[in-house]
Amino acid sequence: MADMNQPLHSLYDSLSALFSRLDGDDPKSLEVARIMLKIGQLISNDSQADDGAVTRCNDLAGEVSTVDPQDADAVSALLAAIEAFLAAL
Amino acid sequence: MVSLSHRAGIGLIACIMLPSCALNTIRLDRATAMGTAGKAATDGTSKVITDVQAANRDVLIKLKAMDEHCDLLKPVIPLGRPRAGETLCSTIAPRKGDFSIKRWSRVEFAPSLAVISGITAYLGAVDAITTRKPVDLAAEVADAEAKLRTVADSAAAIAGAPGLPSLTADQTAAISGTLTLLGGILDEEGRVADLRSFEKDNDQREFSASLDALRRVNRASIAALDGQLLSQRALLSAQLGKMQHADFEARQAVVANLMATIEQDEALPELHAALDKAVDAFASAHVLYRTLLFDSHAPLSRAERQKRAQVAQARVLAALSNLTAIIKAF
Repeated sequence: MADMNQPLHSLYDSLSALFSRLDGDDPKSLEVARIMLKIGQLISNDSQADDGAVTRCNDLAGEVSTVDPQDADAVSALLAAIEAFLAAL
Repeated sequence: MVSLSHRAGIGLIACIMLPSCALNTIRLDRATAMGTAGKAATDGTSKVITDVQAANRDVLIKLKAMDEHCDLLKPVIPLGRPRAGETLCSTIAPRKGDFSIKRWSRVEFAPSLAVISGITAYLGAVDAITTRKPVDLAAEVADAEAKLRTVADSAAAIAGAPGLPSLTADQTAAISGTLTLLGGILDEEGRVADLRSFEKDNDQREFSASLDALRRVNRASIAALDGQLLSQRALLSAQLGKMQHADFEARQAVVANLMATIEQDEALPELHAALDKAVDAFASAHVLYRTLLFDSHAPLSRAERQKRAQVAQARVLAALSNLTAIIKAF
């Protein structure tokens, strides 16, 4: 089992950057804030996961960093993928 | 009294000839150093636990302040694409993946606090032996002499013979000085013997397990604090996003809070390293303390060798000085 906290930090940071580029009234900003809180909870519990999850988490962080905040469909699909990933941890 | 003081003098000479006598001073020094290192380690862990509770409390308060739908003690945050009218905590219908922000009450930390309590109790026992009040041999002997004199005077009065001859002031001072020195040495020997006896009953595997547990508590506490700080950041960022039309001072206050939270989070790896270092220092001090306690040939540091030589030298000088005073007085 690998330490999951560092990859979760990367994901959090990329979401934080995305969050700052979204409009405050955009419903997606609420969704991002909720995901960030969820990551805080997971890190609080000192998460451990297999190597596959670590790789997936880093991949998701990379995808968030490059997604176009104006592309609503792409952002929504990515957030849904992140939620599914966090729920499975 | 004369024969007692002679025996005391002989005892002193015998003792100062043995290097283990001065070594006891170093042994007690090491026990004290171990106690100091242990207290630093447990204090560090206690402080982080307190910080986790404070940060967690702050998160729960911020959540409630931002959204009245959030339960203060167990807020549930829904996940998934927000539906019309949903807020941070309110939801039209519960969904898979909804989660609750955990409240870190005192009960949550009970196992961690038990680890700290166990180590603190051990340190307290060592400290009680190391720092206990020395027995005042001179006072006890003076008290015994006074009682003996009363009995002798009474017996003499009954028998019609003279009582014990009174000691001169010089004689009393000479005996008292010797007894004080001997008392100090015997007291050190007694404390070291008690430490040995105490440590023989202690399972070293349990002690090692306690240190491992302390490291795990530190790691978990740092992770918990990290998580709470990230939650604070998320809440402050969300708050800031809703403040586009707020005045400058209000926005500045939130941004300053956000920056402080980021800086505190950035400092956590350093804090974790410092906590680990404190536990390592405690472990090293404990090994040094135990090794010398049971092995008189254990290596000493340069400073310890110097101190042992100084202690032995000071005792030889004091003993010779007292013996000279005794010879002169009697």
